[in-house]
Amino acid sequence: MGLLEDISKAVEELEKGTALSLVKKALDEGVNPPDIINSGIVPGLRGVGKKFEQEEYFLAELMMGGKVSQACIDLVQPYLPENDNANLGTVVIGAVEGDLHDIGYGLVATQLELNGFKVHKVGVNVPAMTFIDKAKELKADIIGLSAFLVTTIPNCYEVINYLTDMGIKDKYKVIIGGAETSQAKAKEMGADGWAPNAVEAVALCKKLMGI
Amino acid sequence: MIPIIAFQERSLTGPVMKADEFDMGFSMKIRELVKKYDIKYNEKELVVDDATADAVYQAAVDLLVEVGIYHMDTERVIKLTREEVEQVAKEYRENPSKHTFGKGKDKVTIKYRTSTDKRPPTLYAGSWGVAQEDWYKPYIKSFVQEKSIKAMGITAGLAKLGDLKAKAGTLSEVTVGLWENEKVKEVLDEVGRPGLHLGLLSTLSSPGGIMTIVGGGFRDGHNTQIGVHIIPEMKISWSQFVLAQFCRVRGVQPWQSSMSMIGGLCRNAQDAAVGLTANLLGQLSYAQGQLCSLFTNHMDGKSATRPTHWAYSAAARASERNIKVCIGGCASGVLCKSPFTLIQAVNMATLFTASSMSYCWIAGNTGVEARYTGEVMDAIAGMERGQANELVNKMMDLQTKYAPEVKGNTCKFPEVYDLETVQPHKWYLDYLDKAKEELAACGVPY
Repeated sequence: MGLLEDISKAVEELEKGTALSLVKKALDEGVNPPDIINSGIVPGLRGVGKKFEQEEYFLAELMMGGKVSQACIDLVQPYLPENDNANLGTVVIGAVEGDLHDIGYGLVATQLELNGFKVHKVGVNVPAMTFIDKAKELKADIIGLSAFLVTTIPNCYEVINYLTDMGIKDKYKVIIGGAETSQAKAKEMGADGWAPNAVEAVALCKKLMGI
Repeated sequence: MIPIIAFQERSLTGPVMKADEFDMGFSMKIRELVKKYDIKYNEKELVVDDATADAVYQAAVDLLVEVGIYHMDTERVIKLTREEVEQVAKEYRENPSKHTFGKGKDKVTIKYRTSTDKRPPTLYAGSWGVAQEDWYKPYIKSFVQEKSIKAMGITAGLAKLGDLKAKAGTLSEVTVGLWENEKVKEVLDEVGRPGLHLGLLSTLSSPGGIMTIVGGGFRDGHNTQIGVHIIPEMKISWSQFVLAQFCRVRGVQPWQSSMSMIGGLCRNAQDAAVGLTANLLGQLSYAQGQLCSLFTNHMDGKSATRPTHWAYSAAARASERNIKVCIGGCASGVLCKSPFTLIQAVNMATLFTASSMSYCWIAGNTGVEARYTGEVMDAIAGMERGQANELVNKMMDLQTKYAPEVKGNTCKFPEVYDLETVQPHKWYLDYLDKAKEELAACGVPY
């Protein structure tokens, strides 16, 4: 088995120590850094996602997969040519004000990370302006809003209304999700998309990024 | 008993931790404990045995002591000692829970039950989800006109009143809440049940909104409850503590509900059962309520599968044998043009009755299914475990048979009831009759 396949296997099996030493070895041996990411770390991450879909892995493994891969990417990052990175897009995501539920959006965040997005979680019970400030600061591409309760869905509208009133709505794609949300509600409030689960949220974000 | 103010200090001085780190620790510890106590899932034994229930309880005590409760505002972990957790359970065990709700002829006492108790669970029911103004009252009336329904768990909420969106923590939330409260009162007066227990406030979710309605006297200790629960998995904020304190000041029975999700931080039924029980113990430590509802579901929202049944039963029976609080479950059906609509609710209610639950909340259906489901609970209360298991397994097969009919056939209340007479349409009753025939063939004593 080649070095890149070994890296992939270590990431998929969540062996952080092994994965990191293999990445170091690959760098020492002069393996092309983008190849370490694209043919080593990323396939390993895909394996983690696949095992999750097959119910062999669970949320904790997904989170661990994100941490292992991020540590590996951090090692490779300094050796990448300028403007060459594995980021498919930057997402700011959290639960809107009044909402304390974090499992659903946490799962979406982890799936996005595993699929190559740079994700910044802003937490739960987040005021509209915090989403916007963070998106501006990170030059985010996508803002993800999670609302579990009927009474917190209006706080998704609020984020979009602020973006519109501040004249910056076209700078970001806004997606929504959560128990009582729907495609119809997303359309009504002017969001760019809605997904019923984490896997479809990844497909939606890729579509919005033109990938 | 731990004084609630003790949670102030612990929330401000406990170990500092990021939520992700807490989640990982929770998930790994629960796996370790399921292994340590050798907790095994058996898909054919959905009403679990005593030894499994006791193992789930022991694992839950360990989990709460070793992992704690995560405070989302302070990003610290609230720690409880083993002595404290065991003392909380002991005090409940020595004084099995009961609480009286309602007023006058609508009074009802919810009491701790055992799994073979001949007294059936108290029938809770109520409208559910999101309703609209034009059918808000008939939807509620469909339930409260059924005399076998002794209390409501909640009523459906409105997303909008006219053009006014109900927004948490703002004026519109209170305005919508006041409107709903007035309509509920009108329905109760119309059916002659003014003292009925109404459960949770529906649209209101923020502490400010809740306190405005309850503190303002629009709801009272006899007919309301306020949610103070730890959210999954083992997380809390100041809101729950403040509301628990408000319940004591205002004489309101806190609404405790314990939830764990299968396929998230909990891998499976065993993890979820331990998570549910640890969550319950955590809530009892600060809220000191007499009732607790259990909720578990898969990540896709399904809540009536073999693994969820097993988790419900294991957690309820863990409490039955080691805590003795009044446990409740939500037998949620899916309103649809298929016998499935009643089959799922009856299946869940049967499991809950045989697993010691003190109250069963029929939600997601209408008044007529709640009545039919209550009849089943009355008939099967006291059934021994082996027989109950056999029955639940047969109903699970029946549910599987009808599940494909749900897709594309779901409906809303105004489609299945005549809004003027508040009676179900004949075509809908035909589906329910078909369900009753099928259930009777399984051995359900209709």
